[in-house]
Amino acid sequence: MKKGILLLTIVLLNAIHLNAEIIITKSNRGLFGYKHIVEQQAEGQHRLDCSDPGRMRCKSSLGTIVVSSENGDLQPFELTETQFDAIDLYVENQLLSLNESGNFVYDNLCFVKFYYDPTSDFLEIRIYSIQEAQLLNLI
Amino acid sequence: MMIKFGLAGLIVFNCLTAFSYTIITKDNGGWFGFRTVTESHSGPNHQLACADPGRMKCEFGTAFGGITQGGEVINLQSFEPIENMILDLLAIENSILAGEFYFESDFFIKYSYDLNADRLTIEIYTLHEASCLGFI
Repeated sequence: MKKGILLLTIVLLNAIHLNAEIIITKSNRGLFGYKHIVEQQAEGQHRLDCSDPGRMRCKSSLGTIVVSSENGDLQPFELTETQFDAIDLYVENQLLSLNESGNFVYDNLCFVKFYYDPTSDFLEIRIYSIQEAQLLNLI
Repeated sequence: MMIKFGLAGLIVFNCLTAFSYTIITKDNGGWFGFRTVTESHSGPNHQLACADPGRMKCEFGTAFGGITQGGEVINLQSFEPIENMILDLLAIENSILAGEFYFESDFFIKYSYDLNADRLTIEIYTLHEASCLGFI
């Protein structure tokens, strides 16, 4: 019973918590990029899913990405194309240095977590606003 | 007449006995490299097949001395500039995904890339081999 209440509390807290994050996934990359790029925007979250060998770069078609939390309790999180490229390049360099996971604060603007599975060639990058990273006790 | 046939026969024989190739395939690699790297040497023929995401580098082992062109040996490091040239050619938007070129006037290179399968194939021939095979 106690476990059930605890679980319910966690679920409710998660539901109440309002994200402001950017999630990027890259899977089965080819030598020159990707075939499929799916971009989804929602309040609190922006997703970019890139997959399979092709010639497209895994980047947002919007240029600047703006993420607002669902009820506006967090400041809107904004990431320009240049900032996105710099984060992407940093993560790629980490992978080339054989670091398959890690995190870092980028330019006092956001907190970045990444994870790569070499077996499935799957990379996930999560970018949080500093405010959200603090709320989530990530920093 | 006999001399001509003899000469032609000698050339054909020479081509048959000298025929060799080096083929490298890179198939569906990952950020860190490849899961399987298979190397085979059979007389003058060398093959390197690298496949699937993993952690191994796609390169010949130390047992491989290289391929020769008139006594000169193309060493293992020399494959990297060949591959870089191919990647530069393929990186051009809408480029044809197969081609051929001379490398340092000593070798003839054929390459092809299957975009959907992410499979790069590099064939390296000495000029003599390329000539015997009718490539040049």
